[in-house]
Formats: sequence, C-alpha cells, structure tokens
Amino acid sequence: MASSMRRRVARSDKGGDEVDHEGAGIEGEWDKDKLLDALHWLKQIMGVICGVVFGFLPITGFVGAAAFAAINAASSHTFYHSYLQIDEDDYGGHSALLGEGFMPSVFVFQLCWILTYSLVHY
Amino acid sequence: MYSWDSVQIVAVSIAGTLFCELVSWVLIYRTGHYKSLVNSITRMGKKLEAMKAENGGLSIKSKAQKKKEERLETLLKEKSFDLQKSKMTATIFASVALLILYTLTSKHFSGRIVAKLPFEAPWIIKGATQRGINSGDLTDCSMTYIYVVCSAGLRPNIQKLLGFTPPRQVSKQNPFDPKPQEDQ
Repeated sequence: MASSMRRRVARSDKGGDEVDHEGAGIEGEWDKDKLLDALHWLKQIMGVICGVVFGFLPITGFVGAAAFAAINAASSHTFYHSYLQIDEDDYGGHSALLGEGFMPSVFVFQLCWILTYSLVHY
Repeated sequence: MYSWDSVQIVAVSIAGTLFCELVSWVLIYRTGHYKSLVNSITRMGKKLEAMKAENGGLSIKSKAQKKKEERLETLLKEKSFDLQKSKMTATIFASVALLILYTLTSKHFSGRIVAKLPFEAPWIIKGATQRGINSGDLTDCSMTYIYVVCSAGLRPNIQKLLGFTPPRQVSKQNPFDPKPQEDQ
C-alpha cells in the first residue's frame, strides 16, 4: 500500500497517462490541493496529540512550545519527503508544504495544552 | 476547580463560529454567483500553474506565452477581488456577531481565572491572559486569551471542515498589485 501511494505522486517516465507536471498522480489522487489538505490535517492532529500529551505529563514552559514546533515540522517533512517521496519543488517548495496549516495548528496545540494542563493538574 | 469554565468558553466559541458560518452559507455560499466565481478561480488557477510549469522548462518565453500568462494572472486577480467583495457582507456580519459574543462572554466571566497556563505568559500575550483579572501570577489565564486561541485555532478548521474556505489560488493573488507592463 505504501509503495502504491508513492507511485501516485512519483514522476513517471512510463506513460503520459500516469502523471502530469502538477503531480496529479495516477487517477489524480494526490494532486497539489489534496496533498496540502492532508498536510493541514496532519498538523492539526499533531497539535491535538502534542497538546494533550504535554498537558498530561506535564511538559511546561518554552520547552513544550519548541518541542511541538519540532515535532510538527518533522512529521510533515517525514510524510511528504520520506513516505510519499515527492519532489518538493513541484508543490511549491519546503516553505509551502511546511507552512500549510501551521498557524492554526499552533493555536490548536495551545488550546489542548492549556485545557489538559488545567483540567488534570488543577 | 475553575477549568470547566474554559471548556464552556470553547463551547461558546464553537457555537458562535457555527452560527456565523450558517448565516454566511445562507447569504453567500449557496448562491450561484459565489459558486461560479469559486469554480472559475479554481479552473483558472490550475490553468495558470500548468502554463507556468510548461514554460518553466523553457529558457526563453515567447511574447505570446508571456502575454497569455499575464492576461490569465490579471483575470485571476479580478475574479479574486470579486470573490472578496461578494464575501464582504458575511465578513462584516461575522465580525459584529463575534464581537457581541465576546462582550457577553467577557461580562459573564469577568474577573475569573478560567485556566492555568503551562508556561509564564510572555509580554506579547500578557495583555490578553491577564485581562480583567487582578493576579500577579503570570500563569493565571483570563477568558480573553482562551477565546482568542479558540477563534484563531478552531475557526479556520471549522471553515475547512465545512468546505467554506476560498480556493488557494485566491490567497496568492493581491488585487492591489500593479498590472504588469505590457511589452511594446
């Protein structure tokens, strides 16, 4: 399944009906908009998970914020670079892919972090 | 235990956002004019990206290719501007409704500490976290900050879930950019 997902976004020299320059992939499953949507939701989910876990442990202070930023960036990068193995330039570069949905995820993380910390420890 | 106050604030924020989106849908999003604008912007944006990808490999673009791209970019900017104009009513209504909601919620939770921050509030957010509470402890949080975080974090996601976000091509266009010079 992983290899078939990668084929959907990989450039192919085999046939004109497989990929186009926008990275539409086989049957257009992973075009640019769908990839950016997937990255957006991945970041929101990471925000919720990190917020709840950090609030529960608890992890406090600037360390928590920095850890979230690192985990968020690493998870997105791993998804599109290592798992899907796409060429970032075809999708707007690292900044577009890492930036998609980042700001809402920061606030989602903060909300979950604050709520969990308050509810569990106070 | 004051933490359930913050849960109430989150619930109020979500309810307010859903109400604003419902009104926006009734007034704007379900109209044929808005839907056709969105479709044409998406179509034009994809066409422009395909053109740029095709011409990107060429060392020299012909005048005709450049003109075609510029014409499409100008059209896209105009459509994006029309889209922003058509959303004006919804935007104003949402702003007023959320302001009223904030005022009412603020009165209800006035002077109460609704949450404990897992960090000391830096100067940049201290005004929001300490608003309306007399506390020297920088980890005490007032309803204002929780409300702000809800608006900034949950509202875009709710809009995206409901499918009410404008096409990505709109955010790239600035209608106030000067028109490109046409070659003589």
